[in-house]
Amino acid sequence: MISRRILWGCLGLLALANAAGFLSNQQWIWAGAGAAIILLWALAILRKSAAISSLLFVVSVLFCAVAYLLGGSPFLALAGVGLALAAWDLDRFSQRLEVRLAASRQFTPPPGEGKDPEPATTGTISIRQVEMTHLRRLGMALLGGWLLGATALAVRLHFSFVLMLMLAFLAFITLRLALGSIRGYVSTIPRQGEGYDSRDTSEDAAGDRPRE
Amino acid sequence: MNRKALLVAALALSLLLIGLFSFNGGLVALALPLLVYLGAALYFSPGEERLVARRALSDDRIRQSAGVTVSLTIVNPGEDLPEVLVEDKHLRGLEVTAGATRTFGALPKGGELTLQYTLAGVRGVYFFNYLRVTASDPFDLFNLSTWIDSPNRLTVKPESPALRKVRIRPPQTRGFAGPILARQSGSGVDFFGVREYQLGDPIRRLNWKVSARHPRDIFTNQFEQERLADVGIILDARAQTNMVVEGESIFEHSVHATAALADALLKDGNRVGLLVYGSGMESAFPGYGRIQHERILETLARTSPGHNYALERLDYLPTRFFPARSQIILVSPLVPEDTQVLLHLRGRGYAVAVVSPDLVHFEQRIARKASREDLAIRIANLERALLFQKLRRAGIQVVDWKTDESLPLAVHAAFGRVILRNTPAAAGTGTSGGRV
Repeated sequence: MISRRILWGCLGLLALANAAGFLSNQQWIWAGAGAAIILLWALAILRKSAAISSLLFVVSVLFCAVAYLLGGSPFLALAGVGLALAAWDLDRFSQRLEVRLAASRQFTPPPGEGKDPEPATTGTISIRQVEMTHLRRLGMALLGGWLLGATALAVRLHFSFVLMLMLAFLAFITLRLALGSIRGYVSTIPRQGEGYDSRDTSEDAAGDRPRE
Repeated sequence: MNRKALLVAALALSLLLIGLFSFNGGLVALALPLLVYLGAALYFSPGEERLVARRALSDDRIRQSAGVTVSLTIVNPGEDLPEVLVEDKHLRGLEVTAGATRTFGALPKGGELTLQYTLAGVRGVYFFNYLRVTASDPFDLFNLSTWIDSPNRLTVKPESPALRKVRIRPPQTRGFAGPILARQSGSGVDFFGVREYQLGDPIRRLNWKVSARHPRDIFTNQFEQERLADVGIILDARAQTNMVVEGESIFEHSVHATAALADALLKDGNRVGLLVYGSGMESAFPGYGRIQHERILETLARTSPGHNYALERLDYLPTRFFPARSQIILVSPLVPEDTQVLLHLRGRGYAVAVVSPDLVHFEQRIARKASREDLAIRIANLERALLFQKLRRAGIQVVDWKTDESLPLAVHAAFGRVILRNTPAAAGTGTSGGRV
């Protein structure tokens, strides 16, 4: 899987970015700690531990912020945040792809039917296509984010306190609208319980299965 | 919005707030990639799902040892779904032997996603109802989970060792030619008796030895007619007679024995009916041939032991279900209270046979009781032997079957000569049949 290779590449570049950020200010301990965090994250990815991976992603982003606050390059910190986000996303995406690969790999068709791990049904999207689409969208999002961040870092504007207050108010309104939009989206999810048949014999009928 | 989205949002918000309160534009800038990522996920998040699922089974009736391939096709007639996780529910009693019950992919407008896996399982009737489809944005931050109806039904029929011939002698037979000796003279192969010669009797049937002793008369041999019989099989599904030891139920052995008997008797051309006596009374009305065989296996597939206070004893057996003076075969571990009912049936003119899986041996074999319980086991065995002796004295055929031994051999010992097929099930050693 190409996404897996890109994931390791992102982790390596993140380690370099962190090290460069800290070492430019002779922060040896912070640089060592950053490298250790990346190493731990790599181990968590290998052990497929999603919770620890998420935790180390947060820690890595905070390390990027610390590197910037300790005098490191803001562009390097920005790149570090983007790389950490890419590594975290690709790790989770690889795990989702594994589901599909496992389903294809384990199934052996009955005698007489040829082995076809990826059934060539009309309209079926292959794993490769799914992967490439995901990488394209992730690349666009990260590039957009980095360019926006870099523009913000490059442009220096001086505001008065009143204007700052108005901007904060605008940001608050925008945030509220965004949250409202998300909440509206959540409310469109059908309630779990619609159309459940009581004759169901599934194993987790008492668990996450919908109930009327 | 799932936990991952909350994590990204919280991280971005933290950087944003710290940057705003500390007047540090750099920190605000660091939050921007996270916000753009979140925004892109929200932009690509799935709207309303309109998916259609088709479920196909390679066979809707299988034997216990066979497998069935389940093919699920999910079609998306609605808008594009960037990422979709399809999970089929695992049914209790069925095991996935190949493939997986979930898959992942993309479903563009008009696209399809196929999931295939193979199942095998224990006897039963299984209903497939729903499968869960979770659609999400490309970054899996905003999910939409729904259940899609894709009904289907699978019957796993019980396995049965092959018996070729079960010799029964009911007092009354049907009018059609068959393999059962009818206790009436007519065309047949077994010698039945001798009578005086009547005009039209073939010369080759004359009994010259008897005729030689009576100079004035001539005698003819008579042969016993062979006809079909009515057979009623009663499967005892009462909870109090069916023991479960360490997950293994003696009822399963009873079911397999019933299936084997029904198979053998129907192959001989007899009319066979089945009555399951347990929490209720379930039946397959008497009939002939392959369709009846399937009907009986279907009934056996869905049956399970149960308790009903009204049916704790066999007193309420619906004898009208069985034609008068027909053959009744009870498959039951038996309890002493059942004796009177069996004797009563025998008294009413039925030919009664009992196939009894040995409950004591079953428990002893699985639970491996300590030596101090040997005395209890001996007493239980003695009680069982006495019970069978009482039944045999009343003319009831008894098959005392130890469940780890071969059923065909046990049936052979009780019912007479049985030709065994060369199957692994018939290759067991030893016999535990009783004497008639």
